[in-house]
Amino acid sequence: MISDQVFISSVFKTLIYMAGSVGGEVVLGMTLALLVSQGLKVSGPLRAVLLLPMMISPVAVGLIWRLLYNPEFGLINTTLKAIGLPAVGWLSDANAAMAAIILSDIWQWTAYVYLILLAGLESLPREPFESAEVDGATAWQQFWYVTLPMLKPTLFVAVLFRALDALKAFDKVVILTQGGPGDATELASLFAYKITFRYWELGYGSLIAGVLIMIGALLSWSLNKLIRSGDSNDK
Amino acid sequence: MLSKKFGTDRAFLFWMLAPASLVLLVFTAYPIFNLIGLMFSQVELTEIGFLIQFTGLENWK
Repeated sequence: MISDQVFISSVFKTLIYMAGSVGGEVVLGMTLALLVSQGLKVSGPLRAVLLLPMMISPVAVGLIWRLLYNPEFGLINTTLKAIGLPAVGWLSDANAAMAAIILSDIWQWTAYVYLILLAGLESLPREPFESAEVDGATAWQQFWYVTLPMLKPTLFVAVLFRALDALKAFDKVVILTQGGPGDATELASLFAYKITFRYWELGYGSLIAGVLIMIGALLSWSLNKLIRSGDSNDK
Repeated sequence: MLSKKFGTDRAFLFWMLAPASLVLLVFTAYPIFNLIGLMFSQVELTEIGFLIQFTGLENWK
């Protein structure tokens, strides 16, 4: 395992996928939650549209995005061509494929992060914001020095849930790229599946699965520690 | 709440928790220990079933 470059590369790709998808979801989810908490009215149908992707099975999400990414008649390339830009081989280009699977995950799970962060924002006390306003803090300063530190535990919980899910991403990737082109999107979970059920190396496959569990446990432990350190700083 | 109501009746609490603990043990702890065992083994699929052979750190190299 230690000398297996394919495995090490798959772990590295999983980390890129995790950072890209969780980062995107947190930025977009936070933006949406802040806009809504500042009084932006999200009507019933729009709220339903926002939450809809979360309710769809990952396999169906993979199929939807495969159609969208289709190089000939997919909506994305058709739009690119219409505005005079060259078509992109979203799932056939080694560089674009990783971005493509990250984008589909962001589309599906941003609403989840938004919901968690909105609940956190709604529960924050008003007094620190009033004090900051009296002191003449700008909107950005209020966000950076008041909202973000108080929202840290909630933010870490959202990051933890999404990061653990990204670590075991499998179904969407299988439908979209099957780990390709080449092994550009072969995440560790997909590699473990191939080793176990395609090459029937059950011992080695178990080891990869075990290592993934250990990475997940380490991630949970470190984020949990960060959440608790945030709590103890507040006291 | 339970300990307040039943005081020091630890036997009662034990038997109340036993079914859930047993389910947890069977469906969580056993697969994890089995996985740990497989991490250090060579597993072959044969006509009569799985042939598991302990190989130490061979998989880890």
